[in-house]
This record gives sequence, C-alpha cells and structure tokens, in this order.
Amino acid sequence: MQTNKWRDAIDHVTKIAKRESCTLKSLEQVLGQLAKELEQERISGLAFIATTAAQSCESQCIDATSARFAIIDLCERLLVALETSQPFDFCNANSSLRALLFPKETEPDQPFTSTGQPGEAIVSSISDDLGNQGYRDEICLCTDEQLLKEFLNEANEHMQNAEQLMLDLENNPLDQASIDGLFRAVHSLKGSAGVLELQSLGAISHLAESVLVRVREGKVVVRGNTFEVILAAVDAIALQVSSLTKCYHAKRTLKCPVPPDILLHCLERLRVTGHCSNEELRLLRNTRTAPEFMTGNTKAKLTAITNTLRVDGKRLEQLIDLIGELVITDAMVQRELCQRESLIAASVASRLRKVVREVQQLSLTLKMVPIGTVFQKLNRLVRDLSTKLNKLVELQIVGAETEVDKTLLECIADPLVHLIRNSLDHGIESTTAERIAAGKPAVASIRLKAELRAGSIYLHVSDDGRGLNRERILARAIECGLVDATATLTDPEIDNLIFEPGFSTATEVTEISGRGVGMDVVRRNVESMRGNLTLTSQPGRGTEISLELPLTLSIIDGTVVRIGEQVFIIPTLSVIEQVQFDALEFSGSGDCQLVSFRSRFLHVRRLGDVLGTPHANSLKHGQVVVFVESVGKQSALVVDEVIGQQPVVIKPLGSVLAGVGFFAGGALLLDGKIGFVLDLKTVCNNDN
Amino acid sequence: MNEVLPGPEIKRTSNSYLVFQLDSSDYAIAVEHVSEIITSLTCSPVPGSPEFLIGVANFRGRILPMIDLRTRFRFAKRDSNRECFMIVTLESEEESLELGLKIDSVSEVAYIPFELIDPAPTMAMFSDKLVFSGVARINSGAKLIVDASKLVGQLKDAVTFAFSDQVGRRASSTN
Repeated sequence: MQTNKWRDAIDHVTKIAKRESCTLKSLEQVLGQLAKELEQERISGLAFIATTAAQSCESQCIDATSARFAIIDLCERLLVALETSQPFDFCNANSSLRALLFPKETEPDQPFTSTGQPGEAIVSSISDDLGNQGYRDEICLCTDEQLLKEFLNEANEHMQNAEQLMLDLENNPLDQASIDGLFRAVHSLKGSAGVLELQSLGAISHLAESVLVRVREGKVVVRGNTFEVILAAVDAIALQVSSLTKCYHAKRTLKCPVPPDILLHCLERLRVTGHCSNEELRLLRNTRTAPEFMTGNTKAKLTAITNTLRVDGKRLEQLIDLIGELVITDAMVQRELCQRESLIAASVASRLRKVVREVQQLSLTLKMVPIGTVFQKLNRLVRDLSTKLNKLVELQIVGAETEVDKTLLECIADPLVHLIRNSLDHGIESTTAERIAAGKPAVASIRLKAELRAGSIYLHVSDDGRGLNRERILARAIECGLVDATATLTDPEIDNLIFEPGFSTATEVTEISGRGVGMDVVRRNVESMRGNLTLTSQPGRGTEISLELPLTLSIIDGTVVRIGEQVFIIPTLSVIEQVQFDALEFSGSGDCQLVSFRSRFLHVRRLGDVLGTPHANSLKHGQVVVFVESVGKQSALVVDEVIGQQPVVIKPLGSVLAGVGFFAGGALLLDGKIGFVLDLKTVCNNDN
Repeated sequence: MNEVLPGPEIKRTSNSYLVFQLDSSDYAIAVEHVSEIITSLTCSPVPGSPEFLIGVANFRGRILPMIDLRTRFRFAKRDSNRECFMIVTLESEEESLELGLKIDSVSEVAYIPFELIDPAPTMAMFSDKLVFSGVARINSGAKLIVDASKLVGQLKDAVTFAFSDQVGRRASSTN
C-alpha cells in the first residue's frame, strides 16, 4: 500500500515534533526523510515544501519551539493536501509556519521603520545576507532538461499574459476576468517553481499569489498604491523568469535576482492590512529604478506578444474550406437521418448538428484580428500630417480591440488613410485662432471609432472641424459639370457630391489631398467590400463619415435565383427590388424592352441571355424582374424564379476560370452543387 | 510530321507514372501531379463555357474546374456510365492550382525509366500546342506522357480565350 508510506512518514514527523525535547537537528532529519518519501511517490510539490522546512531547521533561522508547532501544523496541512488532492494551502498558514517555509521573508507583524534610510538599509542587508550582488544561485535539483525548458516556455508565456492583464487592470481595477487570469498565471508559476525547486521564484510568486487571493475575495482593490506594488511584484517575477531563461540558454548555473526586500514587505503589508503607505511605496519606487528592472521598452515588447500561435495561412484556409464542406455534408446527413423514425438517429443528428455548428462558428473566428493594428498606423499619420499642416490635432481611437477578418483589414487601411487625410486637410480649421473664435478647444480632435453591430462592423471617422461647405461644393460641382446649374439639391445630396469621381474643392492641389481622387476611391473601395458609406455634416460643428462593412469578405447574404436548371446568387446588398413580371408595364418591343423604374427607363435583360445559359425562351408569367445596382448603375434582370435569401460562403473559382468575368466566385449549396455568385459590376456594365 | 523536339522536361519528373486511358489509347502522367482519383463528382456547368469545360465541382470545400480530356483531345463523344476523375495539382511559386480531368479509366502506376522515353512527336491532331513531354515504349505499347504543367497552362489559356471571346461577342451583339 503505497499511500500508507507517506502517511506513516507524516505521522512519524508529527510524533517527533510533539516531543518537547526534540531538537532542530532531529526535526531536520525526519523532514528530510519525509521529503524523500514524497519524492519517491512523485509528489514533488509537497516534497519541495518538506525540503524547505528541513532546510530552515538546518539553518536554524527558527527557534525549536516555533519550529515544532510549525511542523505539527505543516503535517496537518500535508495530510489534508494529500488526502483531498487539493493544492497545499499556504494562505492560512500561521506565522511560525510561514517563518519555517519562507525563512527569508520579513516578519509580517514587524512595523516598518522609517528612520534614516531604511530602504537602502534593507536592500543592503539582503545583499549582505546573500553576498552575491542581489543574485542567488538556484540549485536546481531537477535534472530533467526537457521539464525545465517547458517550464521556462510556460513561465514566459504566463508573464506576458500577466503584463497585459496588469495593463487591463489599470484601466479597470475591478475586472474579475483579469484578476482571475492574473491569479492563475501567478498560481501556476508558483506551482511549477515549487516542483523545480526554484526558491526565489517560489517565494515571491507565493507572496504575490496570497495578495491576489485577497484581491479576488474583493478585500483589496487594485488601485493606486496597491496597483503599483502588484505591478512591481509581477515585474519582479518576470525579471526572475527572464533571468532564468537567459541562464538556461547560456547554459550557465541558474541565477535569480532576489526581489528587493521592500517589495516582499509591501506585499506582506498588502496581504495583511490591504494597503501600503506612501512611504513604503516611495522606497519601493527607489528600488524599481534599478537598471535590472524592466524598462518601458522591454515591457512594451512583451505586451505586444500575446498568447498566439503562428499558422501557415494556407493550412488555415484548408481547414476553413474543410469545415465549410463539413457543414454541407452535415446538412445532407441531417436530411437522411430525419427520414428515419428512430430515436437514436434523432439524438445522433442533434448532437452532430450542435458540434458542427460550434466548429463552424469557431472557424469563422480563426481569421479575425483586432483592428487596432491599422489604427496604430493612422496615429502616426495624424501626428506627421498635423505637424506638416501646422494644426493641433489629436486622434482619439475607440474600439481598437474590435475584431475583423484579416482580408478585410488589408482592404480598409487605404480608405481610412484617405478619410483621415481629408479630415485633417479640409475638415479641421486652418488656424487655432479660427477654432477659438468658433468657441472650440484649440486642439482639434479626430475620432476613429470601430464597433460591431448587428453582424456588421461600423467604422466612424469624425472631426470637430468646420463641416462641409455646401455652397462651395455646389458651385464646384456645377463648374465640373456634375450637376445642372438649375437643379435644387437637398443638403445630403450636396454632401454626397464629394464622393463623385473627379470632384475636389481644394483650390490648389496639395501633397496631402486635393487631387479629387480620394473620396470616390474611398467609396468604390468600400462598395467593392460590399460595404456602405454615409456622411453627416453639420456646418461649423464637424463631419462624420461612417463605413458599414461586412464582418468577413467570404460570407455574403445572397439572393438565390434560378435560371433554367441552374442556380445563381446575386449579392442581396445590390438588390434594390424584386418585382413579379406580371406586375410591371413594359414598353418597347422585341429584343429591346424597357421598364420604368424610379423615374428612369431601364433595359430589361434576361439574365440567362447575359450569361449565356439555357433558359425559358420568352418573357412569361411567373418570372421575376430583379432590379440591381452596382457602381451607381442600375439594371433590370429577368430570372425564372427567386428561390430565397441565405448566407453563402464565397469561394474563389481559381485561376483556370479567372477569365469568367460574370462571376465573382462560387458558393457551395446545400445539395452539394455550386451556385455562381454574380459579379454585378460586369453584369451591369455589359448593358450597352 | 515526326519532327523531333528536344525534351529537357523529361529529366524533371520522377520515373513513376499513372497510366490512364481514353478509348483504347494509353496515356501517362507523372504521379506527383495526381493527388486523387475519384469516381463520381457532381459538376455544375459554367454558362457559356467552352465544350471541354464540363463545369465546376465541389472537391473538399474547394471549387475545381472539371475538364473532359476526351473532348479536349478530340475523341468522339461517348456516353459512359462509368465516370473517372483525376485531380491534378500543380504547385508553382505564384500559386497552387488544382483541377479535375475526366478520363475513361485508370489502369496502373508504372515505372518508366528515362531510357524508354523518346521525345514526343508533334502531331497534326493536336495542332494547338504540344502537351506531351515524351512517348514511352514499353512492352504493352506506346504511352503518351502528358506534361501536366503544359496541359494546365494550355487549358487556362483556352478558357480565358473562350470567355473573353464570349463576352466580346455578347457585348457587340447587344450594341
């Protein structure tokens, strides 16, 4: 019976410890035996604790009586931990046990002296104590290279997470998810450090953990002084981890920088009293200026790396493709299983459906990245341009964490640059005086906001500049021949003139904007992404341009239509209206039939003719006319039937079929066939 | 008619070939270009496509063009209830290209040493472009070796040409 062995060993230790006459020496011996016993049972975490206790006894940093009580307490805890397989409970340890297990800790109850230069005194006493310039050799008893390597990898990852979580906590001190994440990182670090017998790391992470326990319980709020202390602790742990990593890679003896004693003191204060005094914090800050500590630069570098894995894009595509097919196969299986009147078939079917749906949803998020990467580049743009234009401008970014499809991200960078340039050049007043006269703050602001709403992503670019000058726009448009001089236009109509090709009101072409190519390119880009663009402007108050974009470029809402035997998909976004053929009045004759649509005559074309696919020969009852619009051009297309609307995944047709101009891609339909997705730009332009 | 062309491509391929049939003729294609043989696929026709392009099919979630090699090599039409598709993959630096070739049947994977491969003859029948890298003489007769990259390149051109022609024609007819 293996389990009895350690129980006997623990019992033995307790028996010895209960003898009043026992010495530190004998305690050390029995603890050493216990450690060996636990080691043999591969309970290395607890073995580490026993070893530490034995070492404390050996170094005589504790008097025999407190050691005895501490060891009796320790044995009880070990028994609990072993019998319930719960982690060893450090947190409620009494002070003598803590002294036993953490001999280097400062006494928690000892008041902090602030006479003279206590900070330096403490730091130097630590250095003297170890005699090694604040570094301590870690005698790593673990001979397993692989284990150590894995630990270091894991620890580095944990610390990167912890860094990020600290930054999050700074903004939102009550965020339970960040607190839990931080606790988990520190907790598992402590555990691994225990297994590998890295004592410095074990000690500080243990202390940090016990503070975080209090934070988790809501007894301590990570704010002000507390935040600084915890950040210092996280930094100190990170420093230890990076130092260990460096030593490991250099194949040197593992060395750990010893955390400044003041930090341990502050943590202990936090744990016990829940706050730290300003004086203590000042001392802590002093130690943090030491060059060994992380500078802002390395910290920034660390936070930039998140817990990610680089995957070959092709493999990802393949996976997503396969999942797409899985979904379709699932639909076929579902149909088959539904026909069987069996309970088992029904339950299997519902389980399959659930799993497949989850897999599909997950697959959609695989290519999602935060939009912040693009926003950051714009930050730089604003800074450079505002200096050049001599304007005081501040860029506010909201929603940088919004996730979008990577393909989309690549497409929106250019339009955003155009919009920001335009705001800076035309929107913001030329001089600060002008702004102050208008009662606005001297520093202009451009706001960039990303948000997810109802399955679309919205990007808003707004400025608090002078707004659009409608008279000038109208005058310019008439000059360019874009509108008739006698026409009366509504305000939004005038505003939208700036998106017309070749329009620019800037009296001279600057290097920044004014060539009149920017805004219409923006509109075209957005439309090619199946997006929408709206502009609102208030004279004297500012302009806001909002882009509505689909979450992903690979899934569209499609209107499925039938022509003859074949099925085609028209992007629903481009469909203006569907009208039963009978309900329309046609004029013209023969090949050229015209229909009046929104006060304009459109040439009615049979989609089958356009594409060259077999179809019903003449216009007849039951057919539907679909009115579509692309790049400002409207078309009336006759189809045999509109089957319905559904989201479809667009797949590329591949380079062999690159010449097929009418189709933007193909979509897998539920029956396993392929429906072609119409490229309406070509279809509409083909109408001469 | 039997003009001999130098065939430097021969040395590029390994010596294993997949032997397939169109009618009673044997053809061979380097095995590394063939990723799979499947017996049934649902093809959706592409409107206005050239005759040899049967359509597109869903293969593992990807859309692949399907080419009827009989039509392409101008064999007489034949109704067969047995279908056989060969999925050909071509990896180049710019792209990875996949398509399906419809053939009559597949017989074996044969090892053909270089010595047994003669340069391919140009034939009047395939006046367009030469798609054969050589002809193998082995005991069971001659097998024409199809150069996959040439064949695919040629198909690509033909498809592009057919469609641009079609769009042009349509545009001019509506004018």
